[in-house]
Amino acid sequence: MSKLQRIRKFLTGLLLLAVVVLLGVWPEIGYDVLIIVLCVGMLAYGIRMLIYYFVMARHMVRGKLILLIGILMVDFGLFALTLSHIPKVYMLLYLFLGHMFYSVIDIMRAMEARKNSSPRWQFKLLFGAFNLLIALFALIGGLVVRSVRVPVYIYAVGLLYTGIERIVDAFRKTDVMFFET
Amino acid sequence: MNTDFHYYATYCAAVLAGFSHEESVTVAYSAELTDNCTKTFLSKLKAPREAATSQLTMEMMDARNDLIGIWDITRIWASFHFLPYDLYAQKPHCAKQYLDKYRLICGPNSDLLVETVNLAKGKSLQAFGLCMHVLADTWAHRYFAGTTSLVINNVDDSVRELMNADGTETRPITFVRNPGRPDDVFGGSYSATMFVTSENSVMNLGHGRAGRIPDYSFLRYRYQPAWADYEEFEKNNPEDYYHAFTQMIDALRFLKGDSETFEKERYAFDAVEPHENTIRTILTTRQGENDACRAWKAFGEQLSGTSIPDFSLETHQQEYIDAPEGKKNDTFLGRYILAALAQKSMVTNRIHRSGNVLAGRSIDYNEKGLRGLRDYWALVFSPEEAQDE
Repeated sequence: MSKLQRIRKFLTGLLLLAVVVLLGVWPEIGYDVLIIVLCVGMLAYGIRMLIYYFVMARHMVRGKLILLIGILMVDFGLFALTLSHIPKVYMLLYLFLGHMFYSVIDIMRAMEARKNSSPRWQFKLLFGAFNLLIALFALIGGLVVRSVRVPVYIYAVGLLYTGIERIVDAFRKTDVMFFET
Repeated sequence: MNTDFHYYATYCAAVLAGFSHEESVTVAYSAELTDNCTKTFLSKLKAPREAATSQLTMEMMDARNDLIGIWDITRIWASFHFLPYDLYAQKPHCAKQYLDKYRLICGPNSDLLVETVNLAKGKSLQAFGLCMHVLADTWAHRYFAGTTSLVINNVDDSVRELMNADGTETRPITFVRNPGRPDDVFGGSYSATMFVTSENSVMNLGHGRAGRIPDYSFLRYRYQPAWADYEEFEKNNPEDYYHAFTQMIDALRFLKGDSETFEKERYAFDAVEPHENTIRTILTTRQGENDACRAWKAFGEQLSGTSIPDFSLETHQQEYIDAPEGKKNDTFLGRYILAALAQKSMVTNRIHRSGNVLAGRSIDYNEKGLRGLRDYWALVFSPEEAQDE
């Protein structure tokens, strides 16, 4: 990793941790911020798809599909931004599905590692179980407790993990040594 | 390519190149191990995880899709299964981002192949076997890149299998987007990865979008590679596999010391001439994934007059686990691990040197000294010396 990439990783990691702190301090406004972030995220995804089309996918056989998806996502993003109220249940479902997906992947990975007698399977299983707990908390806890704090805290946990991961990555050795014999 | 070619056919090639039965088994075992040496396998042995030459399905699903994840995937797949054909290839009006992926498209008879064979020269039999895997895959996996890329590796549903010799009679190949489902080679239905619009999704790695059709020696098909501007390509697996087999013999003769140099586009047709019919029959017979193993095994046993043991991942594990620190490099798997690290390091260096960052950064020991991932230090020092450093 180049120095610039390391600095970028470290700074974005710090930024994410700062957002976690803000969400923890002001969870009430955090929900509105979350909704805006996700809508802007969808819009940004659409714009990224358009850039992707013009830089790369236009050279691909039947790459026009990417152009169409990009336009559609920009449209969705703009539409979502104009909505004055998005019910909390959608946010909870989004979090539930996200964490469920990672949970299933982690558990399947743990099973595969165990089948191959790798000692690392317990670590992956722990991660899978943790994600499963968060997913269930998002769905059951969120619907039962009916507080805007639930999705905000769950989202903050995800951000915390990503932030720490980025900071750790900034210090990781990644270069491959080459020895000409 | 499957076990039939990487294990049994490699054994046959080694015997035809003049290696003894024992040596040929070692070469073939190491070639097949390249499809099985995963990080999970290496963790079990407490061996350097950077020596991974393949990934399990869930390892891939679990892989990170950030830069570090892409580097890791590209180093594994481009170094051992999709050796890039031309790292300096040009295509007009393309952004560098696109060109970086385009230049990783695999093909036979590349400069990198010559470097791969030369790298194995003078090394262990395990290094020869690993080299044979890389060489054979350049034929099977041509037109695909060993990195995650939708724009290069995507394959749509317009693939047609050629059913007769002149290719006038065709039938559609059906892709079932469920990687867990077994292929139906007689019905022409193959499992493949799903369509995911994310350029760097693992679904778009190598020939995943085309399922395992490049891995069946009998298949001939016509399709439009995603990168080829709607040009239709014909993939003739039996012919490609035949060339792979004869090139393996030629390379093994060089590695054994029977020829001075390894040259591109040179094939040991002379060695296979008495067996051409047998080989072509095996290659063109429509059969399931591991059904060709029996035929190759029988051919190999006929060549050497000795029984070939079945491949088992367990065979050499205990020797490695039991070896004391400092002696592990002298074991069967230790020698293989060193060969894998050397190959990965060399290919990463060449990709990085070409200005392409998809495999990560390479640091030359002669210029910068000991840097980067510790696993590669074994290429310079013995384990004890590396520990001291």
